[in-house]
Amino acid sequence: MDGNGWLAVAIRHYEGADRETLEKFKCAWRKWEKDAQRLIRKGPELLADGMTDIFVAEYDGKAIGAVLFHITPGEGGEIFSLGVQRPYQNRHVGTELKKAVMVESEVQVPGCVVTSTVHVQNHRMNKINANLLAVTERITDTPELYLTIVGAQLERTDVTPGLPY
Amino acid sequence: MKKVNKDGKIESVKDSPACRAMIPAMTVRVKRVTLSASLRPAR
Repeated sequence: MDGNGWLAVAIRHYEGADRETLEKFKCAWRKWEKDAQRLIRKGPELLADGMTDIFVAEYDGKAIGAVLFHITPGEGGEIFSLGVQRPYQNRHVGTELKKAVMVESEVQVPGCVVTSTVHVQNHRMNKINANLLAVTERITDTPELYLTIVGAQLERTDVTPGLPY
Repeated sequence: MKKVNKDGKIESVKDSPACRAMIPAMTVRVKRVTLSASLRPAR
């Protein structure tokens, strides 16, 4: 489960040309991953309601990963679904997608957190969350799911250094 | 992960009373990961 090394992907906003790829998206191995796959496949049509945004991970000109999320002004971010196509799993692509949502949420709503739910047996996603220092607890009335909460602080790379005296 | 409800909307954690009750106590325990703003996808 330590993966096969980092895959250099570009994280970008969804474009219309990704529609066909997302509608045939294959990321599920287990039954508890099917909901995530179904949601990603419906992603392009869900964009129309304005309550969903999509980032994709691009590799070799193709969308190999996707994350559906929403940022509520004044509140924070929520990830609805995150998946990476089967041949590219365990290459840290999911981590990069989740980081991108964390950064976007922090830029739009400083100090906010990003919430999500994940099946307790979804080891790939649970590992991503652990690497991002997620606070994770079983949902009291849905014990097969974890509620996870993460937060980011942004590096101050935009600060101009002061002039020497 | 989430499902689409009968109204065609994605279920949110805010739709779950149990999640809503858990979020405040969990949020105060969050340790923030330092990330570069350059990870933000350009429009």
